[in-house]
Amino acid sequence: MPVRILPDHLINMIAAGEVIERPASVIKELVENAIDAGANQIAVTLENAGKSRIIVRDNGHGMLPKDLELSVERHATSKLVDDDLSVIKTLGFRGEALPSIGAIARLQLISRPPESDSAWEISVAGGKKGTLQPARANPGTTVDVRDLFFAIPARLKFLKADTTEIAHITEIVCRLALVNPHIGFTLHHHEKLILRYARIQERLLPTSPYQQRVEQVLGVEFIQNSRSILTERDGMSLQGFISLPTYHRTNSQEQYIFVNNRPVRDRQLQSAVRVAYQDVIAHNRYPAVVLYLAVPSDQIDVNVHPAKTEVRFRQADRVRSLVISAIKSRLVEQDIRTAPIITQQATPYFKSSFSSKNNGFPGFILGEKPSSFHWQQNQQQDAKPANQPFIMAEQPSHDHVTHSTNLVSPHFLGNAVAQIHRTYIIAQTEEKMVIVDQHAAHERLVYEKMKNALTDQAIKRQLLLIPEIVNLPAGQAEMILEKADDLQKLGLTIESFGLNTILVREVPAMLMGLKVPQTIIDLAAQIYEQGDSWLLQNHLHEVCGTLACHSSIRAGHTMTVAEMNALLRQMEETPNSSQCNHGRPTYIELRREDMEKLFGRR
Amino acid sequence: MKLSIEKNTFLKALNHVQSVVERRTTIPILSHILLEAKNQQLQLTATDLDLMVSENVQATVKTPGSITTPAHILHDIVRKLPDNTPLQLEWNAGNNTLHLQAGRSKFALPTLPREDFPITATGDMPSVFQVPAGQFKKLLQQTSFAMSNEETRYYLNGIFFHIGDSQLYSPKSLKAVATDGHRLARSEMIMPAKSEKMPSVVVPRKTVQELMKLLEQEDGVVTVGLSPQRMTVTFKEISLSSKLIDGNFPDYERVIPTNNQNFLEVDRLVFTAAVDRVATICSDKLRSIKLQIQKNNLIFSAANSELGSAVEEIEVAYEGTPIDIGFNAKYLADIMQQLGGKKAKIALSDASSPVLISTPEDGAAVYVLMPMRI
Repeated sequence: MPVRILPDHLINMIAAGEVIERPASVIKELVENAIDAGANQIAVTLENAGKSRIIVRDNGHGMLPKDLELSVERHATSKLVDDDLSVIKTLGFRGEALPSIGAIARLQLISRPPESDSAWEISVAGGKKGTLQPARANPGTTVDVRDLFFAIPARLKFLKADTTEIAHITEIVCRLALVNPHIGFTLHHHEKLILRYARIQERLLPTSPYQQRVEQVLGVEFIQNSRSILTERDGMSLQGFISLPTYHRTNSQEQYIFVNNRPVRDRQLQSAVRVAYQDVIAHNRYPAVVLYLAVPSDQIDVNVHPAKTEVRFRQADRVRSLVISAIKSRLVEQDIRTAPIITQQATPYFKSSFSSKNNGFPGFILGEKPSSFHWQQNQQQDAKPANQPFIMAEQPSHDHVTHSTNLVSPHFLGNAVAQIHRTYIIAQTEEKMVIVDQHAAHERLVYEKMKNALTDQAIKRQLLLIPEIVNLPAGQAEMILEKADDLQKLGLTIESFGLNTILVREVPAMLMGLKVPQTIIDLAAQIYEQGDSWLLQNHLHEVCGTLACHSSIRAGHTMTVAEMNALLRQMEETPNSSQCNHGRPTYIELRREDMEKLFGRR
Repeated sequence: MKLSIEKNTFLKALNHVQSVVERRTTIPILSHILLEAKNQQLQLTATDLDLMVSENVQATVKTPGSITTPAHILHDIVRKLPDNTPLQLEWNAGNNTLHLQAGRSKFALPTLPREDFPITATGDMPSVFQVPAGQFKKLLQQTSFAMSNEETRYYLNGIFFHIGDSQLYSPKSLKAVATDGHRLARSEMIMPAKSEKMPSVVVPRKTVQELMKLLEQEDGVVTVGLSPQRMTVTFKEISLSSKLIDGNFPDYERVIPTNNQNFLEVDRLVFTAAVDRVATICSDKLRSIKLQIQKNNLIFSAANSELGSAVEEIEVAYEGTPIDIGFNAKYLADIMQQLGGKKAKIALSDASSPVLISTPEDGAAVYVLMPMRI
């Protein structure tokens, strides 16, 4: 067959295959257009999860008739002002969205610039452009997409259930809303309102517009369980919200990352978040974050992926270290914090048993109870001859029932009052009661101490009498060798040993039983995929963790008041002491006012 | 099968063979021991498919026969019986219970047919020679501690035996070498007669350990048979047959330093005790200690952020360049313990090169240790 240039409608269908995967992709393209048009109110309406109809209505600057006619042509755009791909300030720039949609659906555009008194419309159906016609409309642009994929019915079969498609659409709108607080968004499915985010007017509010929008989108719970960050360095800035380590998720779904106001799903940035949290969160849990990263536009390439979910940084290392250090330093500052959510979750358990119909002594109501709460059980047991020791503080100033004025403790975690179940320490300050898990807390203290010792001195290296030779997949040897200096600091000395092969000369003395080849292969794979590796640190920290676990006091160990107070004081001084190594809280607190609520005093 | 046997005789043989049997196995017959009675003898055989050990003991056999029964249970029973008790074992064909009676104790043990028991055909050994048990035992003892445990370099998980040139014995010697990549132990004995053609082999870890146990009280002569795949060892009433490790032991000669010019001579026991004391300060995971070697003086030190620090000085004979060098204290202690003798001689080059440890009293054993960077 002779080689020929494909006809335009085929080209558009091919382009559509890349850009338009499902209804959510149409929404993404159209809403981004509306954002680029400077709208401050965007309304999305769906029918049949977007399969039958999608309407996106904005109040942006609209288009004149001649622009309108051109906009549905391929590679036509108003957004690349100086024909310079290296300076992209808009979300779109490829000029592919509208013709792509036009190629596979029935597309109708109605637009009216605010300064004009008339609106015009144009239609494209299955790639065939109609004629320009006068229309009636408010200022702004309305894009109406019907019968999506009617021109390529095969794609329709690949769509998921309506609920799934709507979830994808909601996700897209949320992401775009998070980064555009000055724009109001609504999303309707048929007549039903799914989302409404009111426009945030900057001047009227004490908190940042981002915070208001994050609260609208992710809920007040996230705001309460997160801390804001704001850093600038090397002309880049990073702001946003990061969850406390005790607030975590099973997947990275709640990690919203934006680069220059563009939602991205970038592995490098996600791995940076991971690294920042690696020490305070269990390895299979994910923190929730909203990060807004601003990078000079000449430092970034967004023209990597048709849907623009990936970006390339010119100085990826700096970006990475900015993210890691910003999050880490904030997490350390927040050492003495457990997510309030835990207390909130706990409170109902007090309530449920005390408000039970069982009127006498509190009955224990079965249900999903966090294992750290066995108050009712404890009380019942204490009514019998106590088989669990209950150690009371002997200092007279802690006559904790009546003389509450004597309770002023200058310490954050207060004074120890008692140990229950030989596992939990009860402490009080003027405004709250604190319950500490003694093993989790002490384990963290020992672990942090060991980690410090590890970084204070150079890591000791055992030289190998017979060096290990490790073969790696093509390309990975070079990448791991680039990190040789960093690895040496961690005790691993490697050298090049011909093509795709490296030689291991020295290993960290702490990791005696380390399986060297497997570790090198894993390290290389991680560096290859994510640009860096924290595997070796993890291994070292694991050893510290195991030792810490073995050399810390256990549950079941009886503690005197002096010992308990010493533990509390150390916790106040140690970073990250509010979670154990596995991300579980080391203590929870019950505020006095909550207690008063429980007893109906308030 | 019906026989009677004295308890202590039976127990000694059981002790020898039962440890070959793995405690956990997916093939039931492998947890069994094979008992074969004939000609006023009872033969006990145990195997894990790679290693097989059998031993003959005197017994009064009334009816010959053979059967298998769980090894560890049988061992535990016999162990707990009073000393010098005669023991009756009885099993009738067609019945699947083995009856054991001693005094007023009676046990009925499950059995599996003798035909199911995997006997590995040993075949003819191309190379057969004899060594004095004491010398063979010494080769194993002086090197076994340095065997590797790691799976990826499986060919290090045993002791390498080969015939090689020697400065000590003429014309050649039988050498035993083990290394785990951090340290190396080599010992040698004069080449036994008819062994010059023996293949170079790696004897697996478990076989080494069983051999050391079997040879513990043996001072006669041991017959060793070798093929590239298999080893047999027979002496007195015991015979052992083991698969060998199928892999090439690295060219270890290259890592034994020959040009270390700084010689440190120490009293072995004084040195070992000092290492042990100073290493008290080390944490479990990281037993690193530092040696500052100066003219006729050696300073050990160790420091740990939690446990404090320790320093100890000992008098030594040293005329070389002063060197500060770090070691894993456990490795040093292991070597010193195996070395024996009163004096230990340590040849050094610099802080990051392997050191050679030996004793003037026994030139056969040589140890190489890699330092630690601390």
